Amino acid sequence: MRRRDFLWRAGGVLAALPAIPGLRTFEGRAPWLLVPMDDQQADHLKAYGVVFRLLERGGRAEWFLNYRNGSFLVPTDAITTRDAALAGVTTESLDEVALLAIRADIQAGNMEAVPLEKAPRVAVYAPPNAAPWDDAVTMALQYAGIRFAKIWDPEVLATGGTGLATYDWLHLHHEDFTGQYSKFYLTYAGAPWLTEMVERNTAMARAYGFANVPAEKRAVAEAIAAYVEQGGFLFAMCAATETLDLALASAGVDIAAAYADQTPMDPAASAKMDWSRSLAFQDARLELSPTVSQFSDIDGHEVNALSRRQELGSFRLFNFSAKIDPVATMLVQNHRETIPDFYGLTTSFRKSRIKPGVTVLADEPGAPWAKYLHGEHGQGTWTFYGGHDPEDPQHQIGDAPTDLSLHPHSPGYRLILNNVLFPAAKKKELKT
Amino acid sequence: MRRGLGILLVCLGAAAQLAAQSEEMTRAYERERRGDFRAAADAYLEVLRQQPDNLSALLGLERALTPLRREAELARPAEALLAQTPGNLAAYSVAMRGWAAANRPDSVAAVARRWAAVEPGSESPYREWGNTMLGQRDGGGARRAYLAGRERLGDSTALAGELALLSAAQNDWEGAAREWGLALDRYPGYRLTARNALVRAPAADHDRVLRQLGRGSPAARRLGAELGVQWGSPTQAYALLTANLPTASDQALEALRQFLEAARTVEGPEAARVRGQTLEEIASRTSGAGASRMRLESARAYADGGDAVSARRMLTALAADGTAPPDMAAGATATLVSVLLREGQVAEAERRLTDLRANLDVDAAGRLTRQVAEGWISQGNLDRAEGVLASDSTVEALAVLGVVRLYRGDLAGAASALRSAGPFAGSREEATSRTALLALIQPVEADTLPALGDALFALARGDSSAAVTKLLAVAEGLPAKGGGSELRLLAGRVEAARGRFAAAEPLLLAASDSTAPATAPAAELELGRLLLALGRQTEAVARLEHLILAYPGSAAVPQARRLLDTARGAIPES
Repeated sequence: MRRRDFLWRAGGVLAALPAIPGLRTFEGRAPWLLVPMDDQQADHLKAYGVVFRLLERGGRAEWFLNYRNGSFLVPTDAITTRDAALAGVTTESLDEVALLAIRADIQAGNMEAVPLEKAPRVAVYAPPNAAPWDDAVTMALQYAGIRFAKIWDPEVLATGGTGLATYDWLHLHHEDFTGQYSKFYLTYAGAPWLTEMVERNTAMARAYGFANVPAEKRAVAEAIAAYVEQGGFLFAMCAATETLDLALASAGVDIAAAYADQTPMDPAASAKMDWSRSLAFQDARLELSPTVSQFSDIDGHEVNALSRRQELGSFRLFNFSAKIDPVATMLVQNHRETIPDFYGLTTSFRKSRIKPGVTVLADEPGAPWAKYLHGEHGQGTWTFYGGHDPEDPQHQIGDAPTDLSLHPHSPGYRLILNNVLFPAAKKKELKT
Repeated sequence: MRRGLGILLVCLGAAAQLAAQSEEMTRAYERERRGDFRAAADAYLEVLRQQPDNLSALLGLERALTPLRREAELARPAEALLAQTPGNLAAYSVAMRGWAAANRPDSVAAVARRWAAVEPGSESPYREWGNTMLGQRDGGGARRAYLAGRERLGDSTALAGELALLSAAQNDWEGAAREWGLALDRYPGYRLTARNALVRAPAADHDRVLRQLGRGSPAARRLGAELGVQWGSPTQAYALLTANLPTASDQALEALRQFLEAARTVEGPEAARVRGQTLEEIASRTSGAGASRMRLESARAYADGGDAVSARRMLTALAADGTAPPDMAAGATATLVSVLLREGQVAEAERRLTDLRANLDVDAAGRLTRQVAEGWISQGNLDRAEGVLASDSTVEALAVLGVVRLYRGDLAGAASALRSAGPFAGSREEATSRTALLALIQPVEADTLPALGDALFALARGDSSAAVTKLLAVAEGLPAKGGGSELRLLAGRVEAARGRFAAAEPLLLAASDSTAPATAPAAELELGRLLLALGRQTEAVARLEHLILAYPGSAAVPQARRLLDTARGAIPES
């Protein structure tokens, strides 16, 4: 069944108790545990791991959207109770009367109860030897204890996209899909990590019969877009958002600097882009200088273009109607509405470059850019989140890794984990 | 009359034109201030069209075009300005930047040559030319520009600073050293810049840099000495410095101070001793209070470097100096006592302290008294330690007294003194250490237990092997809940710290006895750490999970969770 033809259960179905077969009373115990996600929660990030592992074991849970900042209902089975205790995740015992009262609250307000029934198979697209600490999603998954597979170009380029079809959810490590090594080629010339990156990518392009790395990366981008079109869930951060779209829109156009493909970039490339092929953006003007680590004017902050760099502010999560628009509501569940911004190679998305029909999930009030976007493509969905590391706003190459045990309440990281859990939600026929 | 009217109309016309230009400049500034650079650039261009020699408008145009990345458009208006006023030097550099942005290096060079013709003998045209090429990331072009200037000016030291910085940027550290050497001869004030630039040279280039500087003038060799001390060869560096000191005494003093400044950035005993030598040399060339201060600093540096003989020599001279200011005398006394204690001469330290106590304020005297008491403790003379503290009623003295009583086995007296010392005596680490001692003796019911005092005293003296044997002997006689577990935990920690993991493991396991719930979580945490260190991941995880689930309210739980995360690879190990 097509994913976009699904929606989460209609409101009111769960008003009758107990709604989920897995949620049954255990002898001598209150039948349910509420995992609150407001400020009572001792470790917001690990709470997602507890729910994920429950689903992996075949259990079921519910996500109470907008109830205590997106709390979870899980059964009081011995394994889940133990798991939560070990993870330091706050839980509250609920008897049936208390649960009934919560359901009544949910029914009456801008809230919704969404059943979670199957742990998504998660893949992270990253080069084989990428440091695990250099990617916010990898860190969040590892900290929360969510199992994932690491894949790279061979899996993506496998015949017919069979490699990607194995997974429900795909995250893109901050890859440069324009094939220009994040445009660090000149500024970091001679750095061992860059040399290694160039060698690895060149070898990969050669092995798959592509003329150069930009051509190979464009093929990877197209395979990823096809994966989404066929129903996959895509989540990208930092430069992967912008460069994926640039790669998709640049079919037949040379947008890569000479160091990447031995021919200079087409100076009229901006005018030749085919934006009907991209997911989120349109009408962007490409950065022509090979020495400036920016790709286009999609990014509002332009951290590496010193004369144009914008200061960091804060971004605000939008409110959605939980009963009408549960997907967007799920993606913005948080205990903070306003979150300090953080830089990345692509920090934000200029609103003038966002396609009509894309849902803006968060923006900076008064600024011409958005931070967090969601949209559909074919039968699947994609979510773009600007910036590199929510708890390291000025992240530099070579900086020490972020230790998430020091940020268990990170609202910025929580947004990442919303995305991981959202494919687990039970699908219902779309009504509109 | 008609002629007069005509002149008036001409004047009025000129005034109106000037007012219009001024208005256009104001409009341009305003647009620039608002960040509308495109409109600002148009307005500045309009002013320049009417008044090509308006330098303010040209500079404004550059400010507006830069964020638009249209600097190439600067060249023509700058050339127009120069055509009218060739003596306007600022416009040459603007023209160069414009031509450079237009990718016209030949035109940049031509502008530089025209500028040089207007200002012969000046380095500025060539400096600006080179800098413009650097702005285009053209290091080779920049070098050619600087060398052209050097040749044209007929001065082999011209633009040496620029060439030095360029060489360093191109990883030619030997070349950078040579150029800095030349630059220092011309401009001695470059010394600090040169040092800060060259000190960043990779370790593999250090010898080449020092050899190059050694071939230069005395100033270059002194720079080599400053780098040598920072690169970890303080003794040779000091020898190089003293061999190359200027003959003029004020210049020699300045060179010594500069070397000292470099030596202060380096840690370690050898560097400390060299600091002591340098300070002593400076003191010998100084008079009055300044000399006293240098001697005192010299003594401290010698003491830090482990050269007690030299430290005492400096301090004795200072103490004997009746003209030294009182604060210097106090500082000298305190340092002298500390040095003697470090040498283990506790009796001599106590005697000096008694003699010179008048030099000290109350706080300093109290601090030194306690150091003397600790000196006696470390020598096993608990009676002398207690005697020294007898007249001191401060909380800090109570803290030391508590330790003395503990080593005697007077557990009740120790607990009382340590509790009275409270959390405010000494540093935070000392307060934490007192709390740990209290936690250790609290479960023991006996008021006196000399064997335990003996064991702890052995541990304090560093005899950990004897300490473990004695601790276990005492633990055998105590119930788990009554101190037995606590002592086994301590013994286990000591063994683990000694790397004797096999011996530590059964001790920690025994301390994890659930009948002593106050001790068991800490013991399990220690055991988890030990098992991880031994690579027994699965057992460590099981142990830590047991701790978290069995003792959820324990203060050890957050640490256990963190360790568990590390063991599972969920957080970085650093």
